Amino acid sequence: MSRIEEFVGLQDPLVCFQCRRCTSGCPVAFLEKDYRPHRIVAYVIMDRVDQLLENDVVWKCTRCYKCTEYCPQAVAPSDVVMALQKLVSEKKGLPEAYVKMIKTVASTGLSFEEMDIADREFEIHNRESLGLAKLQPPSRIGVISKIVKALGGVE
Amino acid sequence: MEKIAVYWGCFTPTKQYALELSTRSVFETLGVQILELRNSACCGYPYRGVKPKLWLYLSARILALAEEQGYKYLLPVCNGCYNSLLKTQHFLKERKDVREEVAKYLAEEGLKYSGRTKVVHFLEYLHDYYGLDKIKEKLYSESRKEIKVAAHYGCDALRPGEIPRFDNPRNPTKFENLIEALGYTAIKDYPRKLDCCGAPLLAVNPELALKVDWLKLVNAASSGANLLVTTCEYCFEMLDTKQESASKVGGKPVSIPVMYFQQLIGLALGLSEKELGLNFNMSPVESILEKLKR
Repeated sequence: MSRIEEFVGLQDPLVCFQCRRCTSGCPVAFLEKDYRPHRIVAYVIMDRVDQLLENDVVWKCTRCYKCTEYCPQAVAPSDVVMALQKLVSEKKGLPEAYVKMIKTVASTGLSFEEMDIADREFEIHNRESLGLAKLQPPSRIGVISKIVKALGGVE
Repeated sequence: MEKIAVYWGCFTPTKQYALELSTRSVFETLGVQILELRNSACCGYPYRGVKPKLWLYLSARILALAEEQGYKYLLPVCNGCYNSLLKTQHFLKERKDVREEVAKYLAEEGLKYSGRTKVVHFLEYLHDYYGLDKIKEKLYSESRKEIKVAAHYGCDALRPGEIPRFDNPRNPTKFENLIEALGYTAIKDYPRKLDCCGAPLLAVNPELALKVDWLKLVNAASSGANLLVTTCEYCFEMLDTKQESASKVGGKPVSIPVMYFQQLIGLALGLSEKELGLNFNMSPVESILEKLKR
């Protein structure tokens, strides 16, 4: 367990008795043969986390919490997977999509920039054309930006 | 009830304009005053796995803003934001060390977090605060009975249930109650009713996100529903906007009209398609729109 330094949730994976209820209800396990939440928890318990980090299996979780909801032992497999995502990000770097989003938070406050979108008639719209108020960064964006960059590990 | 602030999150104000338009016009028509949470930013939820402290700081910041601006109740329109704020309250209550660290960051803006803000879901607001009976009294119409509507609650509205929710996390009914209050026939259950739309996978694994989306859509369509409704803009992006892409990835085409529940109530309130952003729905809503206007 020493390998998983900081859990997102408050649960203890060591109490898992491998009943596979998590896997049986997982929509991703239904679609992807190599994604088995109970097996991921087993690898963690056996301190074989390195093997899990060799491929992209930890990025297959859709974070729907069904496994956590139905676990009879309150193991929270989804939280275990998220802790593994953190671990692999620290080893191999944060996925580019997250880096981009965190940088956007640091500059605008939000995770995305305002987009122009098409309606069914292919007419393009934005906030202004729809009469919605202009987006503005929070007034203390300087302070927020500094903290977001430090905690998010982006420049 | 005391005044309530709306928190729009990131994805609604930057892309899913239909949710902002329909929520605003529905509240206005129902006589509910929308108060804006000023100076808000992202709630940090996408980063809860990879950067938990960033998440907790951003999320606690939203709750602290509500306190600073004197709001006891906060209504996030996004399911992700809803869960983010609830989970943050739960986590910070248990973990004093993290709470103290977050407090230091918040102090740089002169903000304080106490955790006392009541986070209210849109469905919870209508059902429990505005009142199911009042909705029924105002909007019920027998003529809608032949139309079958399935509800997609969205994962973050309900799970994990260890944190108290507005509805039973394993057998929720409030969404269906609201659908029936308008006069529609609610599909009470369908295979994979509580399954995910796939949106949380979009950033790192878009193809798998579409497969999960497709699985959900195929099962919702199998229920015989004429319409699938949700209140969350990420779920809507997957179920509606990306329905065609999901069909391609899934291998078997799926076709079901999808709307925001806000749009459905809006139609019952007599609001126009433009006021509800209904020109943005990409699923085959036109096949049913005229019937819904009755």
